[in-house]
Amino acid sequence: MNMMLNVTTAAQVKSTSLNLEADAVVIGSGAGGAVMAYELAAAGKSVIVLEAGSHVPSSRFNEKFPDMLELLYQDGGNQATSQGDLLVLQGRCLGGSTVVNGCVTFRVPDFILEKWAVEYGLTNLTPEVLAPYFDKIESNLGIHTNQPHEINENSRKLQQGAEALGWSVKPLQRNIRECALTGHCLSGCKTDRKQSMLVTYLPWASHHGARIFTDTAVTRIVAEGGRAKGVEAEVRDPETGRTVAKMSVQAKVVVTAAGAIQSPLLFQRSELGNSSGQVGKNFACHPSTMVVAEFGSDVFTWRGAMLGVYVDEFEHPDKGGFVLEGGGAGPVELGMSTEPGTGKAYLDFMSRAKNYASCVTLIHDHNVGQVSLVDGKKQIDYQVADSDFPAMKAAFKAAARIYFAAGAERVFLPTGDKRIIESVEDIDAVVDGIENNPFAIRMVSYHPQGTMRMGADPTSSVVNPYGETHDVKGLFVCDASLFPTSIIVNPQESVYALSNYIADHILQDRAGYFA
Amino acid sequence: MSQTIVSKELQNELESALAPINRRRFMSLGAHSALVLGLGTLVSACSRHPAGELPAGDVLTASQVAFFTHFSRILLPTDGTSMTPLEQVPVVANLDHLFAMMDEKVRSDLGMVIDVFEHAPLVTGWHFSRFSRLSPTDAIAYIDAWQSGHPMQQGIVTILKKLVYASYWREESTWAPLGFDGPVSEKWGLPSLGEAPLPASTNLAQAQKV
Repeated sequence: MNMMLNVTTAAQVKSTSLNLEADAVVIGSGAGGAVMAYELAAAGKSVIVLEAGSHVPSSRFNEKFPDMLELLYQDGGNQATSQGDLLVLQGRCLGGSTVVNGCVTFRVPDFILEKWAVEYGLTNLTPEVLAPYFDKIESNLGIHTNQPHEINENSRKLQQGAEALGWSVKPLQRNIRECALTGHCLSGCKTDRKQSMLVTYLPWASHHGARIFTDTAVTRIVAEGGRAKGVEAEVRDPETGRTVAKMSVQAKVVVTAAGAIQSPLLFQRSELGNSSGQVGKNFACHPSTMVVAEFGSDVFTWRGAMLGVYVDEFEHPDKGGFVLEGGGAGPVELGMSTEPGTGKAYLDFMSRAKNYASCVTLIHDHNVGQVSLVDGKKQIDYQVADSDFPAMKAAFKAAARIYFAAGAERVFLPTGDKRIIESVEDIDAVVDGIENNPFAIRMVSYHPQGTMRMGADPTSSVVNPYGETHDVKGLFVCDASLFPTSIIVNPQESVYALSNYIADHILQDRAGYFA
Repeated sequence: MSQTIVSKELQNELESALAPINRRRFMSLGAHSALVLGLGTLVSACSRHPAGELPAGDVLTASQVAFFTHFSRILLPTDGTSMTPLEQVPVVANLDHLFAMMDEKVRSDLGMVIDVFEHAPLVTGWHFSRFSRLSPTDAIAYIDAWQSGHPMQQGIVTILKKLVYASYWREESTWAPLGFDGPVSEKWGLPSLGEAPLPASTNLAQAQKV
């Protein structure tokens, strides 16, 4: 089915040394990298894309989540914080996290842009300036509001409860065409309905001449005299990890789009771009949890479109700073979502799996974490800030109220210890007892952000308002590490739009990089 | 049920071993756990593992295989339930595979965690017994005590449980009792839509100054 996509994998590399040249080298092929590669290539620039993960065609997606965690995710799905109580799930394959996400798209909220303007000097990123970029992305990726058939029984429970309470609840928007309602988004879309980078911007970039290398890990960004010159990389056998070729790319422009974990690590390994001391700092991640509610009737949370509606009643920080998204789950995720007891009590809980509805909580967390190299290895440090913990608990309370309003019999909280709410009267007592300790909450992050933050002040930010590093000319960043604060909502569309915006800035070439 | 049979000082040492300092690295039990491990080694040297001699896995040691074999039986007592019998599901083999996927340091840390969990009952008042020798009733009580205990205990037992649960539910044979459909695209004969067509050209830089 691939018509345009042309990829060079490790197996196809026959030389042990590759020396390449291009106008631009793009590191990473996810939301930021793919859009950047396409925009530059479509404008006639020669582009090389280097992706550390492998090219996994959708025909290999088997819709078994544990298998796909190992095949498509960073560290086989085991990427965790140093404390061990937060998994940070990211795609590690051609197309990056866009291949394995839940298709949910949002424009960055206006109040976040206002905050960025006031606190970080990003006065250029107004809703008016970004609107045409969002329009374009939405058109290109088939982004649409979920139609009634895309809202499954799981989401209808959330919708019914929120409506009963008079709270704002809306259908989500997703980048998908002719959704087949399989519910297997997180395992990759086997039939290419999800408009991930794998079936959109990467083939389009390839069509315009971009050369895409997978299994290729960039080891260092090369800069001389404060000017980016290219990168050094290694092509590695994905099975053995053995280096099969050394690669050197000379480029007029270097763009990092490796994501909020890998981008700062690359800068740290390259020992550049960090006069502000902010590389790797300010890590935020939307720590998300799953609240599970038991109903007297069948729900089959895993059937239908995986994400249908969301409750935005509390989205603004003044109203709580969290959203609830009706998100389905399979047995593996359900089986680890809560603590129902041990032995027979656990099996009893699982025996009613088809009666559960589930929703995902996302909070507007502060940028309190960091990503660093320790003894040459990645270390992610993050603990939910005490100032953010009330939002986490408020999200649990809201979810519980919604589910009881929808007729739930009980609600299971995503806590380390056993916390089951049997009635609406018990909500406060059960939730208030949770303390902000390690392992108190079962959390996953799908949205790492903030580690290379954007800002007008070179002493407090890594890149300028147009995505170029303050320290190294010709070196750009276009992934979620740019966000100076977390954005509360799913970030992929905001990364697409920002990347396109930065690409346009590069193409204007005011500094004469392409001259 | 449990009775304290060691000195208060020894218990305090263990409590100290398991006491997390907020924001400290989870796995860094460090020198404190040497107490538990040392005692465990002494007992291990004097007795065979209660699960008997089991071969090591590709990366799991024989004692880890024995631990997970026993732990799985306590966590997933499928006899008399509608669930797929535990003995029909390759839980330990799947755990071995999971461990093989892990970074060596993480694997090593988890090995230490298993040792702490296995041997901590020796000094915390569980009939001077390691975990794998506890009766099923006591084993559940011990697990639940950790689950509601100190955050570090909670973290250890949660991780160990998740590893076992993931290794059970990942098997297709366990899905039917839940009503889980599993993969559907091939079953439903869904065609691939393939690559999206090229978009209409839009140069926003020309439309507005960026």
